[in-house]
Amino acid sequence: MSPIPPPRLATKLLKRLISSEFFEEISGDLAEEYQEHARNKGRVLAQAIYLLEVIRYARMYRSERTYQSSNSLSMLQNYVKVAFRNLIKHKSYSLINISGLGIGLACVFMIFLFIKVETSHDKFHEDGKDIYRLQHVYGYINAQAAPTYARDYSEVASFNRINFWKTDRKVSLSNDEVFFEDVIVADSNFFNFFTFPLVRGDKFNCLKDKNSVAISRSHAEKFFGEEDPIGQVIMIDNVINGEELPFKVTAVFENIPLNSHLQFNMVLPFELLHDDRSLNIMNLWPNDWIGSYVKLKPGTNPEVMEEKYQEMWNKYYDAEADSITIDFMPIEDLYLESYDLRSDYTAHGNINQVRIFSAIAIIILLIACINFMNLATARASKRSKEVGVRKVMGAFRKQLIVQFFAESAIMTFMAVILALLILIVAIPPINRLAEIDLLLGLTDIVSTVLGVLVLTIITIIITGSYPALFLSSFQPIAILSGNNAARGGKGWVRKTLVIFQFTISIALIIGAMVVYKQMLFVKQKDLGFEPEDTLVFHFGSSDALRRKWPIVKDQVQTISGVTSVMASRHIPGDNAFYWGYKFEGFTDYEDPYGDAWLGYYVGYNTLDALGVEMILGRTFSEDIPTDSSAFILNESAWKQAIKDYGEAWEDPIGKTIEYYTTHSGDWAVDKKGVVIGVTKDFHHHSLERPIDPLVIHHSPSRRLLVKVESEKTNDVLASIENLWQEWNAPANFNYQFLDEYFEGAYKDEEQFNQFILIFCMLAIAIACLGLYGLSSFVAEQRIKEIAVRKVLGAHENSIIGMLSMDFLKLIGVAVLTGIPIAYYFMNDWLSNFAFRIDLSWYFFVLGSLLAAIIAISTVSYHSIKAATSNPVNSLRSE
Amino acid sequence: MKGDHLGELEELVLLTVGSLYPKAYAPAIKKSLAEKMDRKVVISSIHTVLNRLENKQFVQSSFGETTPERGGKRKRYFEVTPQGFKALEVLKSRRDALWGNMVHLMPKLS
Repeated sequence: MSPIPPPRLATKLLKRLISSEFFEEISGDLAEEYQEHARNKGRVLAQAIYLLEVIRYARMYRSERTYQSSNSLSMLQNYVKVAFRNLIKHKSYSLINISGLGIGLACVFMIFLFIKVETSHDKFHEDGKDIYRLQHVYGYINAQAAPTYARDYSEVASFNRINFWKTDRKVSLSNDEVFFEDVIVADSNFFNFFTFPLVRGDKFNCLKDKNSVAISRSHAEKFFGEEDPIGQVIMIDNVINGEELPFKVTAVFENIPLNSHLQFNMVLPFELLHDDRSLNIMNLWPNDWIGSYVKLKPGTNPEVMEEKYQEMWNKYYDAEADSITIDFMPIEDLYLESYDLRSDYTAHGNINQVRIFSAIAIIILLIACINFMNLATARASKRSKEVGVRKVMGAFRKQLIVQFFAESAIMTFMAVILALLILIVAIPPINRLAEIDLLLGLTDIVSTVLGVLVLTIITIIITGSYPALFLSSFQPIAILSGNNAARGGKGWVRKTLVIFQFTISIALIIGAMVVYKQMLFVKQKDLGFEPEDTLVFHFGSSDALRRKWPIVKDQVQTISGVTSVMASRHIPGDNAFYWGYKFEGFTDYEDPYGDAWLGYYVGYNTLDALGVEMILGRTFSEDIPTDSSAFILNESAWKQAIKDYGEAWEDPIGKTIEYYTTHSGDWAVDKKGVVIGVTKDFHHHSLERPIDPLVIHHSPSRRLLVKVESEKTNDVLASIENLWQEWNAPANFNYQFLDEYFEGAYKDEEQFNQFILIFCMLAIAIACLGLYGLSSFVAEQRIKEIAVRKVLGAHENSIIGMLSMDFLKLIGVAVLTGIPIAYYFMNDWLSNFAFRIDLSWYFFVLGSLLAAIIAISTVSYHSIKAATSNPVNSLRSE
Repeated sequence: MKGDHLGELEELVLLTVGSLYPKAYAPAIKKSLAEKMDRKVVISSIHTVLNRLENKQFVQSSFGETTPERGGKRKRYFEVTPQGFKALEVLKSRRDALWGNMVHLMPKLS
C-alpha cells in the first residue's frame, strides 16, 4: 500500500510553528504515525489526530537546538593552532604587528605609570583629605596665619609650619666628618600631622626639645653607618644667630618617597626660630615666608575657612583693609595644581603635562591598533579561502568571530609580553634621566594590574573587531567560486584607516618639528647676557666675601686665563624675591610699603662682565660710594614705571626710589637711592617665563663669578682651589658653570619636550611600520595584474608610479585633514611660552612633504620588488 | 537546575532511548513507552523532552535513513551520552539508597 500523504494544510502549519532544523524529523515522525492511524482508525480520525498533534507543537515554537557541542574545546585548540601557524607562516607580518603593538603598549604603560606617579603625589597622608596649605600668590604665608586659625576657629583641628630657608648648612659629626646638608624647620607635631612613618623614635615627642633633630634613614646610614643613630650628637652650623649648635638625634624617619611634595632629610624643631635674634618677622602679618598647613575637622568647607582670613587680617593687623584672600589648597592636589604660583619652596608637576601625555598615549595605541586592523583585513584575501572552507564544513559566523578574536588576543598577549620586556629594560634609565621613580606607580598594584588588563582587553576589542566582523561575513559560495568580490573586499575601510593614521602622523610630524624648533629657539635665544665660560663659586657668606673681596679680586685677576672677576648674590637662573618699592611719583600713600617689585641683587662689575647691555646711564662703580644705595632698572621695569608713575619716568636717571623691607622687624625703609641706569632686558630666570620688571640693587654677595678663557678653565680651577684654603672661605671648595646652572632652571620643561619628541617619533615609526606591511600585501594582491602589465609592455617605472600613487592619494587627503589639526594644537601649545616661535607655512609644507617621502620610501621597497620581478614567476601558476 | 536535574518523563524517555539503542527515534520511543511502561504520551511531548535532553547534553542525535511512510523525511536517531548515563546512574543509586531503608519497613507495610 502506498503511503497516504498527511493533510497539507496542517503540515504547513507545522512548518510555521517549529524551527526549520526540527521540521524534517518531526514531520517525518508525524507522517509515520499518520499512516498507522489512517490504517487503524480511518482517515478522518487520523487527520484530526494529526492536526491536534501539529497544534501541540506550538509549545516548541521558536525553540532551537543549542549547540553546546562537546568539541568546543578542541575547536579552541584548533583556533590557537591555526593562529600560531599563521604567525609563523607570515613572519614579517607578525613581527610588524607584534612589535608595533608592543612598542605602542610599552609607551602607553609607561605614560600610564607616569600619570599614576604624578597623580599619586601626597596621597599617602592619613588625614590627607582634610589637610590644606595656605597660599595666595606664593606657596607660603606669614607665620601667624596658621596658629591664629587653629586658635580662633574650632573647625581647624591642628596646624604645622615648615621653613625651607636653611639650605647647604655645614653638619659635623663627632668624628670630625663634615657634610653640607639642607635642613628644614617644622613645628613639633610634624610627624603626627603628616604621615611620614618613623623607623625609630616617638612621633609625638621627637621634636619637643629644641636641640633635637630627626633624620632620614638614608642619612642615618650616611652619617653613622651601622651605629645606632638615636642619641648621637651632631653639630649644625649657622642655624640661628649664625652659631654652630649641637643637636641630638631623637628620631629616624623612613626615606621620603619621591611622590611627596615635601622633600627633606633633616628636620629641626620650629621652636628654635623663636631664639633667632635676627629673625624678627615672626609676628608680622604682611610678610610671607612660612609654608603653612592646617588640618580641618572632617566635613568642614574649606571655602568658608578661606573667607575667615579677612576677619583675622582685620582683627590682628589692619582693621581698614579689605579684600585679602587666600586659598586653601588641598595637599593631595597641591603638586599638580599650584604650579603657577609666583614662587614656592617645592617642585611641582603640571596638570597640562599629564594631559598632553595622556593624549599621546591614546594616539600611539590607536596607531598601533589601526596597523593591526589594516594588516588583518589586507590579509583577508589569504584568509578568505579558510573562512569559506570553515563555513562549508559547518562553522557558524559566531564561531568565526570567536576565532578571529582569539587570534587578535594571542597577538595582543604577545605584544603585552613584549611591552613588559621593553619596560623592564627601559624604566631604570628613564628613571635616572627624568629623576622620577616610575615604579612608584606600581605601589597600588591592584589598580595597576587592573589597568593593564583593561587596556589589553580594549586593545583586543579594537584590533579584533573589524577583522572578526569583516572576515566572518564572507559568503562561502562567493569566495570558493573564485569571485574576487570578497577578496581584499571593502578597501574603503582600509583606506579610511590609512588616511586617519596618516592624518595623525602628519600632525605629529609637524608637531615634532614645532617642538624641536621651539626648543632650539629657546636654546639659541639671545639671553641678554653671556653665560659661557663663567665659573660660579659659592663663597658661603656674603660678609666673608665682602671682607676678602679686595684680596680675592686681585689674586684671581692675576691668574692667567681669567678675563674678569665678579661677585653677585643673584645669578641668572635664580628666583628673585618681591619687596616693597616706592618709586618717585608713587601716590597711594595708604599703602605703607609701596608696590611689590622683584629685587635683583648684584655686585660690582657683574653686569658689565656678564655682558648685559645698558640702554641708559651706567652700571654700578666701585669708585662711587653712593652707588651702594643706587638702583638700576631693566627695560621692562622702566616701561612699567612710565606706565605706573607718570611720564616723568621717561627720563629715569636721577629719579629716587625708596626700598622697603621687613629686615628690622616691621616694614621700614631699608635704603633710598637714585636710578643710575637702565639695562636691556636679560633673561634673569627660566626662558619659559617672561622677563619680569627688575629693580637691580648693588648688594653684598655670596657668590664669586670668574669669567675665563675656555681652554684654560682647568688651570684656573686648580689655582682657585689652592687659593680657597688661603681665603679661609666658610664653604667647602665648590664650583658650577653658569650656563649649566642657567639651563638647570628650565631643565624640567626641556626634558618634558624631549619626551614629547621621542613619543612623537615612536608614533610615526609605528605608523610607517604599518604602512610597510600594508604595501607588501597590496603589492602581493596585484602581483598578477603587474605581471600582465609587464607582459604587455608596461615600464617598471610606470608600475612603481602606479603603486605609489595609490598611497599618495591617501596621503594627500591626510595632509588636508592633518594640517588644520596640527595648527590648532601647536598654536595652543606654543601659547604656553613667553618666548615662542611663530607657526610659519614651511612647517606645514615640510611636514607634509616629509610624510609623503616617508610613505613613498616605505612603500617603494615593495613596489620596486613587485615591478622588477619576473612576470613568469607570478603568471606560471593559477 | 540546568544540566543535572531529570524530570520523571525525562528519565523514562532517557531510559527508553538507551534501551532502544541504536534505533531510538521519537515514534519508536512513544511505542516503547506505551508497551513497556503503560504510558500514553503524545508525540509532541516526546519531541519536547528529547529537545530538552539534547540541550542538557544527555542525548546526542544524528539523522538516519528514511522509510516510505515518512514521505522521504529522515529519522533522527538519539543515543545516550556519557553525561546522560551518569545522570541516570546517580538517580538510580539515590533511589536504591531510599529503597534500602524501605526494605526494613517492608514487613510492617505489607
